[in-house]
Amino acid sequence: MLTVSNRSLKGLDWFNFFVANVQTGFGPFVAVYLTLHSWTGLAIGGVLSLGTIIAMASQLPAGALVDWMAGKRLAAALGVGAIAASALLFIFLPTEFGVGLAEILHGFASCMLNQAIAAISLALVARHVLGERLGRNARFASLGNGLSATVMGIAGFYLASASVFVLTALLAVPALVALSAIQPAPTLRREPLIRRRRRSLRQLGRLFLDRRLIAFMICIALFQLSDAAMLPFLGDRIAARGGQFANLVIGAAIVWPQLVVAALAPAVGWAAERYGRRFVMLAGFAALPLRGLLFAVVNGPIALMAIQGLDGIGAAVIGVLLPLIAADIAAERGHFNLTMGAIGLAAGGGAAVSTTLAGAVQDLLGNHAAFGALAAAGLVATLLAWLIMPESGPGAPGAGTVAPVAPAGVHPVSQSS
Amino acid sequence: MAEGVKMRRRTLCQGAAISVAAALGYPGSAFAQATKPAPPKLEKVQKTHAESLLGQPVEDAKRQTIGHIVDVLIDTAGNPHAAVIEFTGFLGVGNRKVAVAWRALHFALEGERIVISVAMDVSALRAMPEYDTSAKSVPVAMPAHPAPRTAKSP
Repeated sequence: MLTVSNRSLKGLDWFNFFVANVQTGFGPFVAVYLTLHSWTGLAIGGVLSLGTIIAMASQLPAGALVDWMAGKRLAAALGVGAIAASALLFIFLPTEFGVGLAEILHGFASCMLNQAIAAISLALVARHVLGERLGRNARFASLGNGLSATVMGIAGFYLASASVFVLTALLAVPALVALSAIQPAPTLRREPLIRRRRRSLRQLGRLFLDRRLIAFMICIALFQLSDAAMLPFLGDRIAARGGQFANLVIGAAIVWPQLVVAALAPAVGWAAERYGRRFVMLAGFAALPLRGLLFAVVNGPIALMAIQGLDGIGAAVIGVLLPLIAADIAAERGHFNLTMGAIGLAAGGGAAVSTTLAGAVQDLLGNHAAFGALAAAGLVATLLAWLIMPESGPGAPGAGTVAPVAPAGVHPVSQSS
Repeated sequence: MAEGVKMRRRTLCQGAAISVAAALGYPGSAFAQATKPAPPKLEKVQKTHAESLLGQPVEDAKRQTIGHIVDVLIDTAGNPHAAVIEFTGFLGVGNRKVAVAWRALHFALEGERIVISVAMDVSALRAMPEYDTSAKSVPVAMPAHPAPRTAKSP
């Protein structure tokens, strides 16, 4: 049924896998690595904040850039190359200049890479199976995340921490090989070119006033506000109480939700196409207040680790819905990657506030209360998703009707209403 | 990297000079009067007598690395009071910074390297309240008994 070759789809699978490898390898080791290079805590904190700010500030520009570039595979290749380059900078130039440059490169390239993967997926498959495709993306990405978290968590402990950056740079090679297996679908170029002619500033303004976009941005910001601090705060509690096996339990708490994502994501994508985005979103969001509440009342390290598996539900839903809802909106208004960038910006904003907020509650009322506050934020996110988020899928509002089978890669432009 | 080390040594020296001056009751003007300071003398010290401290691994009694020294807390005389040890978690999750009394640390020479270890229960240490730069008082983990030094510092 699909005219896009199996080779391309396999290539995309493995590209997701290796890109996740490349991306995981980074953040956690920067602090340890720079400490070993005699950086002070203040300087390390500064560099890490720079990275966070760049990652936020890059969302919209990276989206606009990927929208503008005709070759999405080129955009992806540049992203992989830039991340490898920043890993090399860490190894060979661990000065303030080198590390600062590496953080800037990495922040922008990361945004661009996620955008490019979504754009390639969008161009590769038919509209009505996009959800399942994005589910596969999320599955392979989390398998990559889980595997590299395991390997690098152990390697980083026993080997010199520079080895992690070497490994990151080397993993760019299989990522590029997988990328080269994706053949340029004819639509990869055609779709954005059609849209570009009709663009104007007023349409751009209308995009940012789109009710679905605003509602989704608010919901996802609140989701991240609730979600982002949970893992570090959980890690802190397990580290304090877990005794000598604390790190093993923390490692399991990081890897196990990735397996949940890998198991669920394709089904989430399928359900989003079959039953609508709203249904899937509500189910995924509802897991969040439940997790926060359980963390607030449960104490045993192993039980805490098991509960963290619920994170996989939310992560699978966000992983699939973020690009999918952006695609829904872009089907009418164009600017697919810019839309993704706007949603990413909202998510990053929520995540940035999350740890500060939870930290403030923890200082006042303790670790359990901090989880209570995060659970409350998750509950608000879920209620808002229920109240303000409209169905955005094809055939909305009566979602569930399968869109007419379109030839592979051709997006039904007639969706605009 | 080398520059960072140099900078820190300089600040340490200045701190030490000021605290020495303060301890001896010198007024600040005593330094200002010396118009032409003598050029610094060059001293060649073996690495084992002047080793970098930040980023050094800390071992437990079973010789396993439990974390790294990320900061040193001094008193008004410039003497180290406590070391801030960052206990390593998994992939950056579960890292905890705990201030440990300086006298709880052991320094031993092994080949070319100074090995730092701490003879306290690691699980209990890790569960200590975290070191927080913004707080007014610092929780410092003290050993139950004064620890015997395994290696003398000359």
